[in-house]
Amino acid sequence: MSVNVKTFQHLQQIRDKFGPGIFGKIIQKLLALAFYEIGSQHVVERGVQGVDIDVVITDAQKYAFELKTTEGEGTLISKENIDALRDRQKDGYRPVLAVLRIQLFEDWIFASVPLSHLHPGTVPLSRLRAYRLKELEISICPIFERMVDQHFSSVLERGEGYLLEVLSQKRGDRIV
Amino acid sequence: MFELTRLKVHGFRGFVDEQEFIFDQPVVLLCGENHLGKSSTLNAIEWCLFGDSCVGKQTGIRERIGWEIANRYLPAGNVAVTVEFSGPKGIYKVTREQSITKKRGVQRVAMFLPDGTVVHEDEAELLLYTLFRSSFQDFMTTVYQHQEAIRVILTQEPRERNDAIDRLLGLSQYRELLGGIARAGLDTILKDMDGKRDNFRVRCGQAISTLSNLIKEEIAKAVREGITEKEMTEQVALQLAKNIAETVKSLAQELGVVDFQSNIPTVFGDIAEFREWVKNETDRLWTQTPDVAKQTGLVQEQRNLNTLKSKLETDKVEEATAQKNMTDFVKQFGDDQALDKAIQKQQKTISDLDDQIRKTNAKANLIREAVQYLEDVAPAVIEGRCPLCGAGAPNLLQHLKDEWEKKVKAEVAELDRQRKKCKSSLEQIEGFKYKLKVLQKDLQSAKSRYNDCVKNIAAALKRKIEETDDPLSLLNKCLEQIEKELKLVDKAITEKRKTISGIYDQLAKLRTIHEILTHEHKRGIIERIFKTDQFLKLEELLNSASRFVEDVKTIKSTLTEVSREEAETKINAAGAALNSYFCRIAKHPAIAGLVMEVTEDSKTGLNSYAFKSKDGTDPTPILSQGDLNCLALSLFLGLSEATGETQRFSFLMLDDPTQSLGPEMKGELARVLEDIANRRNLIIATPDTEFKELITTEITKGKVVYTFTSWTKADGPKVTKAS
Repeated sequence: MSVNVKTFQHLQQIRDKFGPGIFGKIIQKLLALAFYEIGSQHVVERGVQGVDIDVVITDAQKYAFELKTTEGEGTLISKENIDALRDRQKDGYRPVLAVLRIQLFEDWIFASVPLSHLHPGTVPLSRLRAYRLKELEISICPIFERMVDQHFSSVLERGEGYLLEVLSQKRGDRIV
Repeated sequence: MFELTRLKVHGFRGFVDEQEFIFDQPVVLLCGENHLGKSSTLNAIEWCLFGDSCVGKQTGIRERIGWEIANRYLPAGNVAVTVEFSGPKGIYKVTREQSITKKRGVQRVAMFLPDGTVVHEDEAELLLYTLFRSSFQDFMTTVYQHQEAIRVILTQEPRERNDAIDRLLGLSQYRELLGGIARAGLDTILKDMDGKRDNFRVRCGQAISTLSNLIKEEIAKAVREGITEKEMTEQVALQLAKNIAETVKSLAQELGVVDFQSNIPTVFGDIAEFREWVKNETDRLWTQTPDVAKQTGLVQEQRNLNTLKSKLETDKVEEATAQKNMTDFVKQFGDDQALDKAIQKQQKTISDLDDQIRKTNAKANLIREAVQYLEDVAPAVIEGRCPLCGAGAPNLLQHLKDEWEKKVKAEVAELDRQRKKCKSSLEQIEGFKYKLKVLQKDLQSAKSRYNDCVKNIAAALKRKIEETDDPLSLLNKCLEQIEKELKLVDKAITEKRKTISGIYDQLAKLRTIHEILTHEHKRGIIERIFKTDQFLKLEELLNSASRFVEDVKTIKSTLTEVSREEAETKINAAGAALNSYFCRIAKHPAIAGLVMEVTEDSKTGLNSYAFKSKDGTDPTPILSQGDLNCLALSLFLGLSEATGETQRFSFLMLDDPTQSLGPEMKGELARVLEDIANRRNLIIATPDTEFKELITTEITKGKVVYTFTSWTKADGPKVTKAS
């Protein structure tokens, strides 16, 4: 799996415009939208404390995502990240590290690493490969690409606020 | 477990003829002075089981470097050792032989099993290992108390010490597994694999970037040339190609080319070939166009006639110049006849002068002879009288001589002057004559060139040129005609050229679209690489490799944990014996008790061992040589018992265990061995008679004593057996 060149260029432009911090938040919201798109029962996207996204796709598929973006061969995991995932695990969510390497021909890695194997520090992406949730990746990655391409112009123009509105609308739709 | 029952030694180290040892009692004592063969007896057991593994530097025993197996005093150098064990299914026999072939030792090993099966060589070696589950290193530290090897535990680097203790505890397999995992460097391999994938990805990214930039530039250029982005499709390219092909076909028909074969590409991949075809075909059609052929002929003829015209004009001028030069010269110096006449005249004058000079010279000779005659025949003249008249005439002869010489000289000089003048005139006239000939030749040549040129013109104009004709006018008239024809042909060609230019314009457009699409196609290929089955398979392989590495890490972690737990269990089991043996044998006043601890080495995950006194300090720095030996013995004896079921041999071999021990220590050691003899058979080699007596008195189990009394080169050790 790999992100299309066009999508990658969109991601690059977003990152170049908003910087890595806001870019991370935008990516988080786009991924949350992708989960809405596949018809998840429940999606919680957090801007503050706790894991980044909770998703209930079906009753048997409950995931807690800690999102990371990186350009290198590894990603930094903090104790807070691990603690947040552990908290959600107690509530029946499967903890998942979702890492997007911002490089051409890379894509999301959804790694369900046993928390006992995770320690604060840099985790090589090659290690995360062992714990990939391939089926979930296959179902989400193309949708994520579509979300990026679909919302690219508006995101570039209005930033994170635009996606907040879209997510808010999605939540409203779901309540209705 | 396997009980040692018999040993036969032949030709091994100091042994000569076959010597048999029967181990039919729980305690076997090998006694005698040093150098008589006691240690060699124990070594023979070791060599029979492990062959070359117990020889050389890798043993960690200094004296084993360059260690000789064969008895150096036997000429053949053949060695044979047989060891017999009583095992779970009966009698097991191992024989190892070494013979010298071409100065090299060749070993043969065989194993005889209770069911009568015999296996040899590699199969036998493998069976030895699997049956006894012991490497040489294991045997050396858990069965055969080799003083130097045990001392390693106390004095060597931590890694070697930990390695040795792991072996003592029967944990070497864990250690080997963990060492193997570490040596495999799976993390590095995985990183390397991922790095290679990443390099490939980066290279593809660079290629994509280069192609994208190229496409961007090409599109911008195309737009400037009036091509819209909508036109940059394969369909448009193919339609454009079809239009071009039809235009070329029309042109061919218009030009009347009969051998024209149309070519219309049906797939985008054929466009490159089509472009070449169009270029070649239009070139071919152009050269075959009649108007173009006519134009080429007319231009050639025009060029030819212009050349002739130019030459004619030049030749005409040159002829006129030659004629004028000739006329002017004749006018000034005369023609051929006049010059010839002048030459003849000068020649005659010169001839006359030559005659006069000749005559004058002849006359002078006559007078010279006459004067001489007078001098000879008329002395009177000399005396101053005239010879004719006799009148006095002083100096008459001299006077006549002078007068004559003066006259003759003047005459001759005048004649010479006149002759020179005539000669000079003659040469000048001859020069004019030569010059006239040159001018005549030039004139002739100029006329000849002109005539040739006229002949060429006649040939070019394909007509006869009469004397009365003006060739230049004829040429000009012909050139005017050509010019008129050329104008007509040019007009016809310009129309066709417009068609060709149209084809070229369309072809250029096709080329631009084709190149953009080709680059996009290449970019697409690279992009698709990452979605191909092969690449997805590669990704899955990398994922599998990563899973494998993670699994191995889990296994490593488990092995580390199990190895440590097992070590702790065994140390706990052996701890009391180690402490008890050391305290009993050494009786060290400063060391109340001894504790052995195991921890995990944070870097390697391997077991790390430490000895501590009861007060928590490391005791080894304050131990004497005797104390260290006590500690080594206590450790060996304590831990060899702790190996429990992992140990397949039911006996211990102790080689000179009382080194550096005092009398009291020896007594305690004998009593400790009495305890051990309840659980293990003992084979003890010692030169210490005091210790031999202690063993005899302190150990209550049945004993057999082999006494080594002497050794000679010819017979080897002399051994006697006593029960």
